[in-house]
Amino acid sequence: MREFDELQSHVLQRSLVQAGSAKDLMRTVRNQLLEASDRTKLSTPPQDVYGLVGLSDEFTPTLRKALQCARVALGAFVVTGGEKNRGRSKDLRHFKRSDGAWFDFSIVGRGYSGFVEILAYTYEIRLPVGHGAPFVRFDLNVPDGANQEGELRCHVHIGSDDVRIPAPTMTPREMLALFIDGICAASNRDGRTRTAFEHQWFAESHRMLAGDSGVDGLRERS
Amino acid sequence: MSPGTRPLEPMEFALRCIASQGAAAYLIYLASPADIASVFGELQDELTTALPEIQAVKSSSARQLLEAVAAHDANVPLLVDASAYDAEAWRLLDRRRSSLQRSGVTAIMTTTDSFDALMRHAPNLMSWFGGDVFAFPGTEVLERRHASLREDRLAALRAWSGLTDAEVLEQARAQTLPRDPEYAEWLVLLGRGDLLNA
Repeated sequence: MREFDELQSHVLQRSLVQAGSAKDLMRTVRNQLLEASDRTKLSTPPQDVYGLVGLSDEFTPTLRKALQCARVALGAFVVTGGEKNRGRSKDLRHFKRSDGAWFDFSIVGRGYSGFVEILAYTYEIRLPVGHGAPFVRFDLNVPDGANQEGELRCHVHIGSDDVRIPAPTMTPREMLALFIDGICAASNRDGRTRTAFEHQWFAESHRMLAGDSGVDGLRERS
Repeated sequence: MSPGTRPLEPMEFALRCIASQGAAAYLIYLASPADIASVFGELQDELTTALPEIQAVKSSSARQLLEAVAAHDANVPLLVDASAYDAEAWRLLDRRRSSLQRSGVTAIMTTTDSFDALMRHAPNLMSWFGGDVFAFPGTEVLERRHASLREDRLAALRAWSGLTDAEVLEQARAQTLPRDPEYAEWLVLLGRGDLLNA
């Protein structure tokens, strides 16, 4: 949408360059999750946090060892948190929040001498029933120099894979802070009473979903 | 790998050291001479992130270790490269073990040959480690684990998109690959970060 070109330019000016290597980034991400586990904001125990955070790069084993020996960190990488889970199955390994929300993420970047640049990311959190939407996902797509017009490179999906809303680029630290302490019900008051509009919307949405997959299909998935 | 040692990745050994912080703990981590330098560096990086106060000691002799221990507070975690220690060095440390007593974590890295010498010539010191003797599983083992995890993620991406690796690469070369972050990850896992076009 051309109307968002200026907004997108503004958003994408925010630097996603960080000092350090891909491993440093991975460890920083892991430590933030460990700290959240220590203060029981995450119910995922520390040893599981270690197992859930991973780092992959594009190198062959021989080249990787040579780079490690030379203490050089270059090339494209992906930091992962939890198993790849676009199907939203609770059977795949993920991080659990103490209120029942659960999430996973992946961050793609490129390492240079002394710094890394985040190129793309996806973070998705699934919320407890009654928290407004089944999931929230923040995506940063890979830049497309040839045709970036009209594309919302950085966006958020709230309860729908098909609806995109412009979102600011955020660092891994900011994203995880949002997922650990941010997207949640207010703790200082009871939930607001739902309006008649919301009741009707959810009821009609449920009928629509039941029609898409059949009532049995819904029961199996829930 | 020496009998009685348990294979652990560097990250897992670091986690054990971190979990032991706050008490007097002595742990040993073994690696082959070819891997010692890189694994020591890896451990140092892992431990420094969680325990910024940790001191790395690369001592070529037992006397240097004794001096290093005396120079730091007893509760500061220590990571020691003892790969150069021979029978004589371990005998000295066994006799002077009271000087090695500390209230913090002491993690010692060495080779299996040096560890054999420790067991034979420093029985009193050896008793401090108890069952806390671990070993780097080796680069090949780690690579196999890494490759397995990589393949799991690739399988998940294929199942999600319905595309094959070849189709993704073809679209990336033609610059028609969707810009979703999943495809970026796919290219990295295939070793084709050069096609990220960024």
